[in-house]
Amino acid sequence: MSGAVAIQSKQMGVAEDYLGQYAALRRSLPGADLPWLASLRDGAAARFQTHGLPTSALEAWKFTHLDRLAKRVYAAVADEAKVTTEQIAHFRFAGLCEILLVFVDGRFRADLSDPQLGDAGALPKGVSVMSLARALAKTPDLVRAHLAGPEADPAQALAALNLALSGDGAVIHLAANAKLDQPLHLLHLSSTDGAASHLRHLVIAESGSAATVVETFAALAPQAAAWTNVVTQVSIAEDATLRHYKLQAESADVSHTSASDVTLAARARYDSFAFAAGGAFSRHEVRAKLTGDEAVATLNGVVLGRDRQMHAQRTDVAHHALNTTLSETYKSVLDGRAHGAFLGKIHVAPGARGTDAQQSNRNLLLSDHAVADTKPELEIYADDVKCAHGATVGDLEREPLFYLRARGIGETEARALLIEAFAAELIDRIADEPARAHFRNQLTHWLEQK
Amino acid sequence: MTALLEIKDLHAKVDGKEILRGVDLTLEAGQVHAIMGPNGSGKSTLSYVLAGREGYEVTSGSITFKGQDLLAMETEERARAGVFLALQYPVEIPGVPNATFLKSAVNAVRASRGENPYDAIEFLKRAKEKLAALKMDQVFLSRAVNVGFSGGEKKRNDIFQMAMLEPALAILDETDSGLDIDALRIVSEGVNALRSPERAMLVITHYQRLLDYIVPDKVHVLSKGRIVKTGGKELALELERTGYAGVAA
Repeated sequence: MSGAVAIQSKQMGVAEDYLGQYAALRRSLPGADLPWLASLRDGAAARFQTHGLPTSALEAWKFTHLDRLAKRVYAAVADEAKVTTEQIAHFRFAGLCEILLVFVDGRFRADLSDPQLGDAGALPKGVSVMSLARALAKTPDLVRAHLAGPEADPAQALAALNLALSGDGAVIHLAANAKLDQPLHLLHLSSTDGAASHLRHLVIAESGSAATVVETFAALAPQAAAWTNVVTQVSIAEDATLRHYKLQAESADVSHTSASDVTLAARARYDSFAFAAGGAFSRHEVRAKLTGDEAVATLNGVVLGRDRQMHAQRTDVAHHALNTTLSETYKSVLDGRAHGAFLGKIHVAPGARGTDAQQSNRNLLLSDHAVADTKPELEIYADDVKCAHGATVGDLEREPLFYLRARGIGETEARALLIEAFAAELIDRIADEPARAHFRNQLTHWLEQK
Repeated sequence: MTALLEIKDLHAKVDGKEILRGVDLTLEAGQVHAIMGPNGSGKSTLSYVLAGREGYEVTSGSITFKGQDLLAMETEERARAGVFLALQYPVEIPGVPNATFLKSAVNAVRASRGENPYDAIEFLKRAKEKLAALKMDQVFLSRAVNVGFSGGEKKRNDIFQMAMLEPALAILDETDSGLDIDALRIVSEGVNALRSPERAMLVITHYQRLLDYIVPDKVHVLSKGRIVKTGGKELALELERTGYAGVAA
């Protein structure tokens, strides 16, 4: 075992096991022959060793209970799961209009992905899409320039573990002014009990480029308990636009932790929507740094919870330039004994004049036993800024319910319409029609299970 | 002939406060009655009690609609039986397209009458006819219910719903409020197009202006929760001249 990762003999249970996994895998992970990467991974493992799994004592993990992750160890699957194109067909967009990349149990599956990915001429000019392993072999400098190292922040311990263990991912590069009309669809499937999927995706949008990236997480084996731990790094250069939509529909026993780390240059636009309905425990974090003047970030999210599900949504947006705009709306629909948590941090750095930040969190509780926690966190160190935040927790509003019933619609149907509308309001803002339908189908599916 | 709507000695409370204090009113099919009165006289309360809104507690009296006890019916049952309330402030419902909302409503009402539901094509055909009559664009169907509509558009949308649902009793609560003269004319034409021997209307208004367009058979003055005066359409003109002070005393 290498000296960089010194595993002490009496470590804290689960965390120790993950470090053991790293020690065993480090020579076979993609890019293991690249010294800079090996050093990054070693550093990340050391960070994870220092911090261990996050706990709700950390501000960024408040109200968030990781009991499930602390109780069981998940590991990368040694054998490739047997999956056919027929099995993945119904996870695709209607009309199969997207460019598809498939990951099963944390591995990129070229055999299930669109064949055009292997063919440089098939994608629009200036667009390159490959697996992380291939990118490390073909364009290591591009990956090196964008792959973020581990952070000292204990709240980022799972991102550090992700960096240490990431077995694959997608590297999407848009050259200056490249436009991708078809959405790119990263489909993640879990099929094996006990599997851990640590994936690291990079989206690099050079100046003036534009694309839509959709991430879907779903289950091939409904009984499998697994852990998905994904980090997507997004870099948006001047005047570039990225639409980034995420659909989490994992099976009932899955734990899902994910983060989008986004950097926006001047006049860059980032439009994100994160939808979570699956899993036993899920947490999605969007961290956005608005580093260029007039950058615009729109962050929306919806979680649907029932039974004993826990969904956490966290945003951490830092305004570092002039006249930047943030608009965020996060919603939850919680039934049964479900628990939703929203943590929204907005930081306005000194000198970031003209910042306009709006944050809203709305929680719809459909049962007396459902719980919603909400916590805005504003740090404003600049003058001439507009920052507004608001949160609501409650049942459906009475006025619309009365209006529908006064037109003859029965109470049950009226309630269903309003619950659907509450969530659909944000889905309907997705610009791309097939992507929008992809999310609407999930919402309908969830409502029908009731 | 039995009356379509018969209200007897109706008393109702809102937030523990008695607002209606003995309202008596009889409406025959084919008639249009206006209810006028100063602010706070109980006009809107009466309309909400008729529609069955939560929080409006009837303490005594009765309402009979088509021979049935209206107060024993749920809000949606009243609507299906043919009661329609055009609201003073139509509600915005983000995320629900107008067409979805209206198709659900029309089919719920049709089902209660034992009629087959409209399929998407039939629904759209009828909706387009009614929209054209109200000089409304078809985009109204795909837009979320009342979201981003101007005041006049919201009122027209309510009248459009009424045209689609073809109620036996239409209650128009301050339909003229917030309308400019052109919108008022269009809305009134829409309402007048629905006048028929089988249908009755209760037009609630603060001002006489609306009654130039929707000419009532009778005018009632509501004051402090009771009808204090009833007359023909000329009563509205008289009130316009003298104000409510004379009759409401």
